[in-house]
Amino acid sequence: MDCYHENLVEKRIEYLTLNSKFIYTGLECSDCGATLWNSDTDRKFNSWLEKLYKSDREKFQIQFGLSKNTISCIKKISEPFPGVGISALFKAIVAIYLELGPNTTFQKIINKVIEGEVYRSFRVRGKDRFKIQFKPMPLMEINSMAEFFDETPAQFVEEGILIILSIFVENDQKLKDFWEENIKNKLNALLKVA
Amino acid sequence: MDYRKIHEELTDNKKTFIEILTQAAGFNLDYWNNREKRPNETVGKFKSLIKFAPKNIKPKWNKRISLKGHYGKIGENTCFEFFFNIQLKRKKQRYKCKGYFFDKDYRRGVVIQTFRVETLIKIIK
Repeated sequence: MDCYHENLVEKRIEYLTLNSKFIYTGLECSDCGATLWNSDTDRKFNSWLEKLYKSDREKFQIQFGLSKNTISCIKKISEPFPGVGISALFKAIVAIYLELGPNTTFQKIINKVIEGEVYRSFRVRGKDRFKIQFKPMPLMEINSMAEFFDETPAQFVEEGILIILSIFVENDQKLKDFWEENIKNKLNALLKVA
Repeated sequence: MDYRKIHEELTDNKKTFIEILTQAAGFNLDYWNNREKRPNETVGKFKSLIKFAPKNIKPKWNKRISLKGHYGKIGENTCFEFFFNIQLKRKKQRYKCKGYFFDKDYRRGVVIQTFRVETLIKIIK
């Protein structure tokens, strides 16, 4: 049976994230040990994250590897955006991957793409390493989604990039249409801002 | 945004339940972390994964049993409960979400009592 948190006490609570402790004063249920996270905690947490971002940038960096084949494909995608660095391109691709995640058509496309030849060819060994720094909010979302898939944040980012690139490369009309209708414009918008 | 506008947004009949829930969570969310038995997912995972709930989901509405606790008295008298699946890449998982909106007479936020994995349906290798 669920606890209804009827006996609350104010306590100092520690929330562990990014190998750091966010400490706040909040309510704890003395019956079940649950701790309350509310809008005030959210505000304090966001401001703590911003401070952490300024003081320890390494915690917001994700290192991952891509094959030579993948990198040549990335170069092709970046052709319409001269002057845009590879780091901005990766961040835009990951942002699109996160945004499209809940889209049911995209979910079907992911399930199709990961069974395809292109995706498999991108996953071969012999990887060049990249280190990308994310802002606090996207990084927290990457961490949450990576946890859902039982992956490391690096694996999640790497796989997201490979899936988006596979949609670009695959010779399938449905995937091409999806690229045109859902990814291309987003990429343009994000990279123009960058 | 002022309270009147928040209330209007959260009681808009044209919106689906899930739209109202995600919007309420954005305005004022009370979420219970770290329960000893059958703990909820972290608040971060709730915010990310609730976006995967189907837009047309219809929750079951039950009378709220306890009127004690935080927002107990000022929360709405009924609580919602629904289940949804996330099937992505090689993983399929079923989630349970349960909570209630507050205030009773002037909706401005939501309490999430339960958000946890109900069943790991399959991991396809």
